[in-house]
Amino acid sequence: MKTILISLIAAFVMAMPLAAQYLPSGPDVTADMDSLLESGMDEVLSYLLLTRQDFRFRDDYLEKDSFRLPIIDSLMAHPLLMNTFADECVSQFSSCEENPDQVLAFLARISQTPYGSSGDLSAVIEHLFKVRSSRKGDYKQWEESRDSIAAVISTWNASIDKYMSDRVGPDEIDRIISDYKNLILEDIADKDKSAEEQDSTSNIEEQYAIEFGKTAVGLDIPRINGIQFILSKLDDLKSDFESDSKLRSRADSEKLYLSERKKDGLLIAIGSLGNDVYEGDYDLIIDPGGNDSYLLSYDPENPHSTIIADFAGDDIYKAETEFALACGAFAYSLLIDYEGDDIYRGGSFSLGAGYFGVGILWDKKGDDSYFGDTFTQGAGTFGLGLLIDSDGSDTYTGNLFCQGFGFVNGIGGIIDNSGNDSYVVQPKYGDFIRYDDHYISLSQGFGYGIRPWLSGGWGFIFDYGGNDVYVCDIFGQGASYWWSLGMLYDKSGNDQYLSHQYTQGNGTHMSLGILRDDAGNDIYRAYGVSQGCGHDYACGWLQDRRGDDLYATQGLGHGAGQANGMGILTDLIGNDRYYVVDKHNTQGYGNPRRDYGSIGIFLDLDGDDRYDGNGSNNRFWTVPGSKWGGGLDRQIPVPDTTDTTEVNK
Amino acid sequence: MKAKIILPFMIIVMMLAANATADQNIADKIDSIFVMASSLDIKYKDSVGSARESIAAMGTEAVPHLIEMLGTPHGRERAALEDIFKKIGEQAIPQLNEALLTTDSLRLSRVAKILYFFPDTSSVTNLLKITDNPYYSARYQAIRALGKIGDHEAIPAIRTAMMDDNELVRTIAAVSAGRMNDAGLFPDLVAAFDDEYYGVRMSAHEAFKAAECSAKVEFITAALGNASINSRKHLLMVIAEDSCQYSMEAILPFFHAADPMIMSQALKAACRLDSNYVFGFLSDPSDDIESFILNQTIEDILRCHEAETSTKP
Repeated sequence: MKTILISLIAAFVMAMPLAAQYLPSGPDVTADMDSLLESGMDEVLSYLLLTRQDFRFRDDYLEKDSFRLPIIDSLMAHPLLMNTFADECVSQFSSCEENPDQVLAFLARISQTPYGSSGDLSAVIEHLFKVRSSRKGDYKQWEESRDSIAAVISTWNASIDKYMSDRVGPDEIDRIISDYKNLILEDIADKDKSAEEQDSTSNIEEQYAIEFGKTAVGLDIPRINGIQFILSKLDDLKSDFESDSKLRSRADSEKLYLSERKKDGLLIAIGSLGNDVYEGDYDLIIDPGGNDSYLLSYDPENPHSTIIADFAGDDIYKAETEFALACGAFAYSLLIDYEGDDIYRGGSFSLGAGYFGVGILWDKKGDDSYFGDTFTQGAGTFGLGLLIDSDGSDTYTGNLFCQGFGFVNGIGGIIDNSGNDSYVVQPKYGDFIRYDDHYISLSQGFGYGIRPWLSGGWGFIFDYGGNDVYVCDIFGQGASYWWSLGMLYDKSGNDQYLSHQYTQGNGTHMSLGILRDDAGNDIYRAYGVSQGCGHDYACGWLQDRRGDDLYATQGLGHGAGQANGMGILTDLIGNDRYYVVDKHNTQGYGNPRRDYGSIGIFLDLDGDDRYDGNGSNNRFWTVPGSKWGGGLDRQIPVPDTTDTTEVNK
Repeated sequence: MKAKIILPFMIIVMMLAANATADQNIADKIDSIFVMASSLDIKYKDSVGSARESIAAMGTEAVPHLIEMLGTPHGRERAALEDIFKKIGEQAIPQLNEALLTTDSLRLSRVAKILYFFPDTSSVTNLLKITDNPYYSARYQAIRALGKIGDHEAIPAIRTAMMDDNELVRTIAAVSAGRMNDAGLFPDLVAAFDDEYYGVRMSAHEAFKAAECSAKVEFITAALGNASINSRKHLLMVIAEDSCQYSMEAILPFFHAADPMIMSQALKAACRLDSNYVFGFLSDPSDDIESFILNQTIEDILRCHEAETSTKP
């Protein structure tokens, strides 16, 4: 496995051309865009007496902890490869529908090696194939399949138990449930607490982070196996149900659950076609239809893996406790909803959250609403949290550490395939250190670590279509803090990005952040330290490929490097508008620090653009006092192989 | 007889014990105040400054323990210690110099970092001893402090550091080479223009820009002819950016350079020296120019010249 990882890193390093071999197959337009980007980048760099190889950071500015994800170290060594890595992810994630195991294997490979195994599923698989029969209208088949899926859960449980016991003592698990959780949770009442109380809380948390950093060495991310197999079995059951009138009729006549019982210590339910209500801490629920209500709870002190599958209906899922909905807490958890406009109310640690485990929420159809507070909607630490929404116009609402959030030793992400989606991080937790009237978000493709004790993880959003809206306040939208990686990728649509600070392609303190939007007429609005800004040995990149876009910021953005950071803004095609207030530190600005300097690059390669700032059409410019940085606006002919009218409409 | 031997021995032991107790007392005292001096706690917000002042007021007595504390992993504590040392001032130098003889690389790098704030030739000998320390940060801080001190004894070490494996050490070596203000280091700085890391090139560039005209003009003029392409770009850019007087003859050969960046920088440099000459040259273009940057440079020069002449009576 080590060899595989080394090969992977080597491949990235070798792939210094921005396009390289990591292009997704088929879309020539991407290749064109990549070559255009390369040409433009090389040109502006040559005017600044720089090369692409100058974009690099070390991994040893300070003592390295054991939580550093290898992908982050390799991308820190070559920050421009964030673009190539984004291409690789686009390609991998686009196969999610057909081949989820491949996606999970990719994420496991990227995240850490060696990674755990969720056990040998071969016996279970064999059993499941045997039980599938041609008998119609018979619940026997269902029950056997149910038992087989339950066997998978048991296998998962055994696997995660071993995984945890090999790495963490029982006392530590207790502390992870309470103290580690407190590193993540914020209290809205903090602002009303006395100085002593606030100090005490932060000191306790810092002390725990230090202790945890010493004791938790060697933890790696568990890998979940067999998802694809389970999905195929569920698909079979679903099609049986849809095609078998006897079965439907019987399920329709049942007023309560067809089955709910403890079997081998597992709480299992198979629902009816009616509007079922499930309450409690289940291991397995399969519901064939109806507008159902799930009022679920979970006790992390008695962890277990969970599978919930709902085949149809407009359902409501509500977490009655933390860790209850699609959260793998010391366990694996899979929630799959096939159809309907569903509402998810997850609270904290939910909706595709991996907390020392793997949590996957997959909604295949419908216009869905996701609500949560903290560590929700694709959030991971010491594990993987993934929210996949295959179809529909969806609303994601959270408050903190959500919507593609990678914390220590973890990966958290959202893959949304289509629809006009809205991603909103609500103003709940105040940013008292900086402002009276702004809020910490740390969300929407955000990687985060505890400085200086624990390296962070990888948070991402990959949105493949629709006119989307992204709203957050401080820290978010393809941004990162402390040895972490944040990515927000939006493939098409006229999108809007609204935020305040440390956002929209921002890296802060030895980390990497990229916001990439491939098409559409987009609007970017942020106050500062955003829109392609790297601060303190960090790189932030805002990359927009097509469309007539509007960018507005107060200062330190549009390609700004600070404190030996690197900030890049690249816009390839379209008639764009750029507005800044502080001209002295924007649009290609690098400030001097630590006796030398930073790099800020601004690049616009097409269109009739308007500038309120340093730039102008068909010009190369530098910013007075900048070391080093500059901007280039220039028409470079693009080999046009696709009709772009559709995406630009 | 016995008493004659035992008594002084006991006195020494007691003195040592008293010293140890005194040291311990100071250490305890510093520790108790340092909690406040290095705190980010809201409750200490207004007391941090005075806490640091009171530790600094202990003067040299506090220095050994403060040096011990430099090994801390906490950034906020390091920042507090630096501030306290700055307040103690130059009187700490002898003890800091002595601390450079310790073998702890981490602490060495931090002591050297403090010495940067008190450039003093008495530190040179011991700083030189850590310029080959395996820990790159120790080398970095030593070279940085040596550059600030500016003692020519450090030149060989700085020269060596410009070829260090670590790009940050090479960068600070280029910075220090510039600070030494010694023309003997110019060839090393020219070589640095071909370094693979931008920090090194940037620092060499800034070093040349900051160097005195009397020292650099002759060197740059001579070096242009033999320099690599990268070095030539940088040197021409230096000529365009600084305010020294160079001979136009040294620049003219690059008016027809194949590399548009070289030609562009040469035109800018020449324009600063004699804009009329460059205008004359540009008003008779012999070839179509394809280079974007060159075209922009020429347009800028022509526009600038036009503006200059239109304001003259």
